[in-house]
Amino acid sequence: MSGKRAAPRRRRLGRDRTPAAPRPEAPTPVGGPTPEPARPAPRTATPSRRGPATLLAVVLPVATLAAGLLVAPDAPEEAPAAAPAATTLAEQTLVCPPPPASGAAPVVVGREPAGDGGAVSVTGLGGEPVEEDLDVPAGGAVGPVLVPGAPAALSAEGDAAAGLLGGRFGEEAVTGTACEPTAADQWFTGLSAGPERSSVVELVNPAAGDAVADVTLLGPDGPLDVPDVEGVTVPAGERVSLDLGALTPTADDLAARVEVVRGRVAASVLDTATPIGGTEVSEWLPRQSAPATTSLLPGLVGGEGPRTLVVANPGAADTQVEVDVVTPTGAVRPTGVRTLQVPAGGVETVGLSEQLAAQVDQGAGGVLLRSADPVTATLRGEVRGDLTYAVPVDPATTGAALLPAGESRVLLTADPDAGSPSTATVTARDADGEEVASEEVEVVPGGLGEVAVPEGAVAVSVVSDGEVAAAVVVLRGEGNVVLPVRPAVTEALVAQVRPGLP
Amino acid sequence: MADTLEPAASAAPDAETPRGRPSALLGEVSPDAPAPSLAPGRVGVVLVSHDGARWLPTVLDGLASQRLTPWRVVGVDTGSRDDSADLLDASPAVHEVVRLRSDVAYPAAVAAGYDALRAQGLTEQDWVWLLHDDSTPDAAALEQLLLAAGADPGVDLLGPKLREWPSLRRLLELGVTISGTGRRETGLERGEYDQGQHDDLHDVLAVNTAGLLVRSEAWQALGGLDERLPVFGNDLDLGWRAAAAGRRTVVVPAAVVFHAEAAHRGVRRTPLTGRHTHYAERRAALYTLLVNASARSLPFRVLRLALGTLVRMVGFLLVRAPGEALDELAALVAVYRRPGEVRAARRDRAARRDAAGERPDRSGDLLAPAWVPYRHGLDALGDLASAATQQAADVAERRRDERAAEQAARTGTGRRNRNQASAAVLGATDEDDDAAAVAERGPVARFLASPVALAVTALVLVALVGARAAFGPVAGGALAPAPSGAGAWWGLHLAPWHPLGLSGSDVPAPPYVVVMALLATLLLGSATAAVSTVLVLAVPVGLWGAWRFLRVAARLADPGGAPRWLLAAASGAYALLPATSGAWGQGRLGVVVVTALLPWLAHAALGFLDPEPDRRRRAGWRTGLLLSVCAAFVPTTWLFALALVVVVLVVGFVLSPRGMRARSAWGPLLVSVAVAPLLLSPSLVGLLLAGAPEGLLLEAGRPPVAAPGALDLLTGRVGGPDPSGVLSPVLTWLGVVPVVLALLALAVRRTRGAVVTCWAVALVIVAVAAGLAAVRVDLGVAVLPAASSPAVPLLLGAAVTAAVAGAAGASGAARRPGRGGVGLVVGAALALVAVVGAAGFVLGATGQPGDLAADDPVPAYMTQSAERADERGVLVATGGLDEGLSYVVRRGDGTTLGEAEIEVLSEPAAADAAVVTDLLATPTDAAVEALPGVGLAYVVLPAPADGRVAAGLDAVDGLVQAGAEDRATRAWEVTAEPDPAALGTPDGAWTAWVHALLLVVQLVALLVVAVLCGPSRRSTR
Repeated sequence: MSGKRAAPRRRRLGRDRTPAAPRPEAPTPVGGPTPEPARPAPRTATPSRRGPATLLAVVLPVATLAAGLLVAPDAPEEAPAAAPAATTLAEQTLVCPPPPASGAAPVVVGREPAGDGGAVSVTGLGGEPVEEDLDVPAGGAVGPVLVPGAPAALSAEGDAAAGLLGGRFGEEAVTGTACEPTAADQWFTGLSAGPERSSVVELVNPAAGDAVADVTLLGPDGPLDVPDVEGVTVPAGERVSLDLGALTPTADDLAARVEVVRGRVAASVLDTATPIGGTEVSEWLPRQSAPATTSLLPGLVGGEGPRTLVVANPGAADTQVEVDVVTPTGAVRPTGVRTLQVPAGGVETVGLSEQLAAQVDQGAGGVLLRSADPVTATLRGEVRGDLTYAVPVDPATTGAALLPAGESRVLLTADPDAGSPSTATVTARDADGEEVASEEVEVVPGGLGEVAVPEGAVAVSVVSDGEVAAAVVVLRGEGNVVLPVRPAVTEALVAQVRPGLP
Repeated sequence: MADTLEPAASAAPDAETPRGRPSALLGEVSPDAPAPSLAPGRVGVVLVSHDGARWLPTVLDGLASQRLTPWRVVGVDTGSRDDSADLLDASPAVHEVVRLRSDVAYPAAVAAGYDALRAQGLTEQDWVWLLHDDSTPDAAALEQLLLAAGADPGVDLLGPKLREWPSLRRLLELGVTISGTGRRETGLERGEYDQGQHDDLHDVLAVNTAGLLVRSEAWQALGGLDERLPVFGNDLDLGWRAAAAGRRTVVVPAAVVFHAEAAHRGVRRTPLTGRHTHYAERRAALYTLLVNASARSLPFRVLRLALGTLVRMVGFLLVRAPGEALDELAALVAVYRRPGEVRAARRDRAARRDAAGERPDRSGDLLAPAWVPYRHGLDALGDLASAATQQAADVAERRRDERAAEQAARTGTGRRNRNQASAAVLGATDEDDDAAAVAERGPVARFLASPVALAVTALVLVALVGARAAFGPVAGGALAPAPSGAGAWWGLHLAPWHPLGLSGSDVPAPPYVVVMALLATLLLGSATAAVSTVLVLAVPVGLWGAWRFLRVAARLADPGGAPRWLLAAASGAYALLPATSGAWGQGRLGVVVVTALLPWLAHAALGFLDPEPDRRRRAGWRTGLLLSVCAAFVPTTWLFALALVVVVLVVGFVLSPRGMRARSAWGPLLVSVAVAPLLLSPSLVGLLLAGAPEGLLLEAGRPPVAAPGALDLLTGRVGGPDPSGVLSPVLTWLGVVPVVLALLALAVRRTRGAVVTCWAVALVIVAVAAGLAAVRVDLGVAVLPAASSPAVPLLLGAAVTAAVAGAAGASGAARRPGRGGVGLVVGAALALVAVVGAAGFVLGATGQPGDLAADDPVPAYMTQSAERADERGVLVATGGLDEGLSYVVRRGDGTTLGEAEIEVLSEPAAADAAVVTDLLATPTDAAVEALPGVGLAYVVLPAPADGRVAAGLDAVDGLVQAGAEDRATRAWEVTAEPDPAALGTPDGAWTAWVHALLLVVQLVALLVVAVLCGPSRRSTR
């Protein structure tokens, strides 16, 4: 401690070792309290100290604090987020799932009305092209193209890539699904793995390199640990089928999330129900959008039969879900429907048959779910022995779908939180892309709009000024098919790239 | 004054006694010894004078009053401009005066005198006595010399004891010898008083020519003095030649001659000595060594003298005597340039030796021992070290001394008043009495009995525990990991171009890299140890510095100073700023270093108030050097210093124009701010040349770092995240306490001036901080605020100083130092701040740097591959499709300490950036083919990777899936090997030359400033 030398140092002044100017040998003669007022100011010798020092004693702190208020630096900010830019699509590939065992399901290739026509090639599993240079006019559809027993890949390049649509519809069975492009994250809710009804998850890899996908299954109490569905390798141009009834037999409803770890995979789920004493019925469970807090599920079909709502909560916290019914006048809370409690990572199933029966008779066309945390859901209907699935559809301003044979009507709903009603124009076209019918319908927020599609239309497109969620319900015979109407991919998104901080 | 000569018996040497036996002591009493007898022969005196009128009268009186009158006195005057020749003429003691021209050297003058004596009949048995015009013989000198010669007939040269003139009591010489480095060794201490301790007759190598009594036969045989040594060194050369010829030289202490050493001390300047006596003496010494050394040792001596001269030059430069260093070099050059002269002289000596016959060479035993030069070297080092560490009186005491001296001179009060005043002072501080009493105990007992010492030690230990995270490799927040060794930092500093970032960078290394490199080199090359040392020792170093500064500042403010426990509390409150401000937790090395060094800087700056000009100059250099180190870490510190210097100069000129007009008043202030740009010139100029001057507005560390806002300045925080945990509300508002104390200190009238000064400093600091806060540094990748973080330690320092000054003033006014209530309250408040800060530090509530290594998304094998070659870079792209991708290229061992600033300031080449943008936005095969040309071997998308971007990269040829530790991290390897020439070599070699030149300038400036900062030492001349 240097402090304890403080006192002796002063006395040692006279014995300073540096041979500097000779110092007095006497101890430090310091002006003590008596002789003079000890002033510490360094060089000044102003006669009166009271005035300026006191003035400064008041002015300086005030000035310092005032100057301190001027100190307002900006917070450091990195370069802001930039939305991706849109460019023309170079190429596009749609994957059609393999047909059900119960019957043939040919492929139909279509195109959105906007854009040019062009050549599309249809390739079956194993890489043999089934059709090359299939010329598909804008707004029209070409088909059926038979790809028996195998998934199909529809690919187009260049100008022909924009707005490609595809569908696989059963010939005899009332089943149908749209052909979707590969995606990194795909959700399915309402899978089954029981004796009466079971699902098969098909993973198809249309690309030239191997792909790896992770399938996460959610059960009633949380995620299921099924090692066989993790890290599934799908070789190039091949498919892998995951039979849930064999892998994880359970009577509960499940939800599945397919994450592509490497490569490109298109997943599809085929539900097959075998009621006791009835015939086997299959239906594709449509891919749905990512979990959301507000889910619109258009496609509630009429008829007798159980209707089941399956809700999955992939988040980390329990959540509550409110169920409303979408009617032409708005969203209505049906009596007897309570708030659902969905555990974290779990799936909740609730039967809504009685509650919805009355509503359906009054013209309800869909279900609206609102929850605190993002959830996914599916509305399953087993009407007159036929299986239909209505899934959440993201509201959008455009959409297109290919239609199978049958009576079609388009059901449109809008976000209940939207400010004003939306006006949607539904246009039906024939195989050559010629407009067959066009109708405008107003959709109130949370309400339902319905448009009937005339016979002979193979494609329908929706354009609206506000965002609407639409689905097509096709009735043929005793069965229904619900097909979501989604915007076709017309642009490629290009990420904005910038240098970052090390 | 004459030494009493005891009647002694001299042991007459036997005839068989070989010459070489040391002569008997003249002083032994032996009753039956014969009476001493004088040597036979007459004595002729040669007195050479040149401008010696000052001393001649006394010399001539001395000569006249000799007990033994010499036979004949010849005065030789070599062209004196004063009346020396006339004095010689007029003196009755001088028989003859020979007048010569002024360019005649001493040997020739003596030879002329000798010839004059020979002309008058001097025989070979006679004696010649040489005297200088500034050497007065004692009355018994000649008699004693002859007695000694008579007692020992084998002696040929005798010399007296030389005492200093004018003090007449100090010993100058008792014979001389020469050491291996050419130093003239007398064997005496400087200024030794003659107390009879060297009064025995003994053989020596040589005696001074002043008072030399030499046998005429020997003089002729030796050929007199060497003409090639005009003024200095004749005596050593003559003596060495005599010893080599087997002749004996003896010093007779009973004979006393008083010598003024006019030529040596430079008092007498002749055309032959010139103005550089040091040069002439040194040249003479080198010449003497070379011409008299044995042939065997000659090559060794030639080499040794050359190296020794270099070492002596460095020594002279270190003590700031460049003139003498140049003299050394000039002497060496002068002697070595004319080897012919040396050879001719050696031939002469060899010829004389052969002619002299067979006599043993006696010189070997009489030369100085071989260890003497090394002992002198050690003594010099010891002097330097003790001067550097000695606690001289501080500036406050010197100012009071000066003022008291002035006052005493003015009023003529004399000692009595001064004693009264000092007694009053001594009585006023009874703590000094305690301390004096305590000081008599041993150091350990003193330490344990002092509560202040224990408390401060406890605080230091707590701070060391709080810094435990830094005892190993630490990286996180703004602190990048340390490189593998000091060599990496040296490479970074010395290279004009770095393989960093996408296409290499010519932005110079940040200036603190060289400081860290020096520290790491001192710590045996470990960079991790350097970073850990800085972080761990920041608080203790700041504590020590704050103690030193506050002690002096308190004494400047109030003569009673501040009690030690108040100093301890205040120092502790300041020293924990790195922790309580959040800088330590955020890993902001720059702020930590500035906080630790600021009290040392302030203490050096107090030297500007010193009354001595030399100390003010040194204060300027020291302040400049410390400011340079601070500015190396946070360059904006220099702006604060500049503003303060400008304000001080303006205020000084306004308040006392006359006092400031002296150059030693304003010069050191300007020096202190001018040093930093010079010492940091490689980075400064390099940034300007590279087009990135905004780098000077950033602080050390990985961006982004936040700047303190208004509330942060008030509460002593540097911006950034707030503390968390139990103590967080207390810690957030802890910094307000010193500000409040500083406000309250304004109320103390006694020290209002000092407190007002502190507030003025605070105003300047806040104004500069406000100016800096308005500046935004746009780096492209980020927009950062200018680094105004040095304002935080500056403001806290000002607040604490004001509080201590106020407390000292309040205590002084209360006349009960240390026990005044105000001091107690202030001390308690500051101690509380220190304790809470320390508690927060130890508990980790002030933040800990995170763990960068654990968050590293790049797999280890990729880093190892990147370390193998610079072109094997790893492209890391974070973000996604929706918010955009931002990329960074990692080369080598990643971004280590010092590289982040370079990467942030450098822009990649447009072509290379386009390649990367193409790859990430629209991956195509063509885009991947361009990657080897850019120097990339891997592409990594850290978790959570956007599947859409990853899918695009999966689809292209040329990228192969690479393993990553985390499933959510996607990585690819580029199948084509990167091009070794990918990282473009820098074009524009002139920037490399400029950088090399600036490095040399920086090194030279550093050495010069370091020497100029050294402690004051009086020249020994």
